[in-house]
Amino acid sequence: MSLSIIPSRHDEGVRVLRRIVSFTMFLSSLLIAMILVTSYFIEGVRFELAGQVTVQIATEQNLASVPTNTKKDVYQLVSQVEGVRQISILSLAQVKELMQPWLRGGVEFLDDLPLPLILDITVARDSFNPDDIRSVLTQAGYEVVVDDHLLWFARHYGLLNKLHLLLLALIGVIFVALLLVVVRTAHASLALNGETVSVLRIIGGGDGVIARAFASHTLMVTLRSCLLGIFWALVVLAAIVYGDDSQRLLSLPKRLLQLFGYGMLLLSVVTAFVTMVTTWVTCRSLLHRQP
Amino acid sequence: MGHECDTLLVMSDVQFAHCENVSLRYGNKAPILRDVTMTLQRGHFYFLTGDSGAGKSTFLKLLYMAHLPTAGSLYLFDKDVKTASRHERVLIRRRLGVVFQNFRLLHHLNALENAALPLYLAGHGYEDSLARARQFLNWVGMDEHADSYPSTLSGGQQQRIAIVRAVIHKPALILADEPTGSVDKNSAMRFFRLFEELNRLGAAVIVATHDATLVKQYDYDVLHLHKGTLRLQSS
Repeated sequence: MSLSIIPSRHDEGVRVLRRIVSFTMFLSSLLIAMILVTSYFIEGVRFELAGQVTVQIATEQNLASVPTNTKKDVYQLVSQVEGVRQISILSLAQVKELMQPWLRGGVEFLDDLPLPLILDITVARDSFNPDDIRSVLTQAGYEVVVDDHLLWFARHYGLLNKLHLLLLALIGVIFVALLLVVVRTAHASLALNGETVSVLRIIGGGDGVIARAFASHTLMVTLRSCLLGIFWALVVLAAIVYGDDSQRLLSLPKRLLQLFGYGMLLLSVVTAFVTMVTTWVTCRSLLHRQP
Repeated sequence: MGHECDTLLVMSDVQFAHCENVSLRYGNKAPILRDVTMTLQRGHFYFLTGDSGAGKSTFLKLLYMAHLPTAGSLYLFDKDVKTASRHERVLIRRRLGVVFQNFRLLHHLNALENAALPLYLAGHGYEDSLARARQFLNWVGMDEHADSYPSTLSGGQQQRIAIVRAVIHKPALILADEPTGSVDKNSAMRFFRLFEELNRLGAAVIVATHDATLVKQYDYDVLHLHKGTLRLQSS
C-alpha cells in the first residue's frame, strides 16, 4: 500500500493527455497493422515470383513450324544453366490462351505470326543468375529476351519499403509530439497542484518523492489511454477484416496476429514508461527552481 | 515510495537557528526583513509578535525555507541554508514542524493520512506511518474522525490534525503561525498547553501571534518585528 501524495488529476491537461495518447495509439495501431499486412502479402508475391523466369526466343516462322530439334536444343542448353530446376516450353495453344484476354476478336491470326518461343523456367533463386541463360543461348546464336520478374517487382518492392519507412517516421513524429504534450502537462499539473506541492516540500518531501508521485500518475493515465486507443483500433481493424469481400484478410496467419498483439502491448508499455520518465524529469527540473 | 536516509545533521548544543544580517525582499520592493541578526536557542519557547504585515509569516517562511535570504546568512542546525544542498534542505525541513495559519491540510487525503504524511515522506512505511498517526490522533481526541476529509471537519478539528502533522515526527523546532487565530478561546488554550508540553519535551517553539493578551499571560521570550527589524525581548 502507498499514500497518494498528490490528488488524482482530472484537469484539462490530463484530459488532453488522455485523448492524445489514445489517438496516438489508435493511429499507430492502424499504421502498424497496415505495414504488417502489406508486408505479409507482398512477401508472399515476392516468394512466388522469385522462383520464376520467362525466356523469349525469337523465331522467323510461326510458332507451329519451329522444328522439334530447335526446341530440344534450347531445352538442352537451358537445362545446363546452374539453378534451373524445371523448364516448360509453351505450346501454341498455351500462348493463345495467354493472349486471349488481350485479343478479344479472336486468336486464330496468331497462327501466322512469328511469335517467340516462350520458356517458363522454375529456378533456385539462391544459385541462379539470369545472365547465365542469356549468355548460353546468345552464344548458341539465339536472339533472347530474359524476363526476370523480380527485376520489375524489385522497383515496386523498394517503393513499398520506402512507404513503410515513411509511415514509421510518421509514427515517430507523433510520439515526439506526444512527449512534448507530456512535458506541457507536467508543467500544468505542477502549477495546478502548487499548493499541495508547496505543503509537501515544507513538511519534508524531497524533489524525487514529489516528482515520482506525478510520474506514477502519468504512468497510469498513459497506460489506460494506450489500451483504450488499441481497443478502438482493434474495433476498426475487425470491421475492415470482416468487411473484406475477398476474405483474404481472414486467412492471415496466427503468428502475424500474435506479433501484432504483443507488439502493440509492448509499444503501450514502452510509451507509458517513456511518458513516466519524461514527467519525472520535467517535474524534477521544475521543482529544482524552487528553494 | 523511496526511503531517503535521514542522515543526522550536526547540531550545536544550544542553537538551532542563527541569522547574520539577514535581509529579505521580494523583487525590487522595500525589504520585508532587514539586517536581522539573531540566535535562537534550542529548547526555548518564543513568541513572534508584530503588527499585521510586519513580516511574522515571512520570518517563519525563512525558517522553513520557503524563501531564502536575499542578503546575509541563515544557519539552521549549523547549516547555511543558502549553500546547503537540496537534500540537506530536505533533511533540515524534516527537523521542523510547521502549523500554518490556515492549516493547509491536503484535501484529497483523510485526517489520518494527513497526519501521517511527514513520516511517510521521510521514508517510513505506509502502515507504520498510519499506526503512529492513529496514536497521535487519539492523543488530540480526533481518533473518531480519522477517516474524515478536511472539508468535513470544523476549523478546530482541522487545526488539531495540522498540529498532529507538525509534531508526529518529533521535530526539533516547531513553527506555528497564528495557531490560535481561528479557534475558540478554550481550544486556543488547549493547543497552547500542547505546545508548552512539546517544548518541555525538548522542542523549541516559535509561535507567531498578534494576541497581546496571550503574550502577556506567559513568561516567554518575545521576538518582536517592527519595520523589518527583529528584536529579542527576554522574559
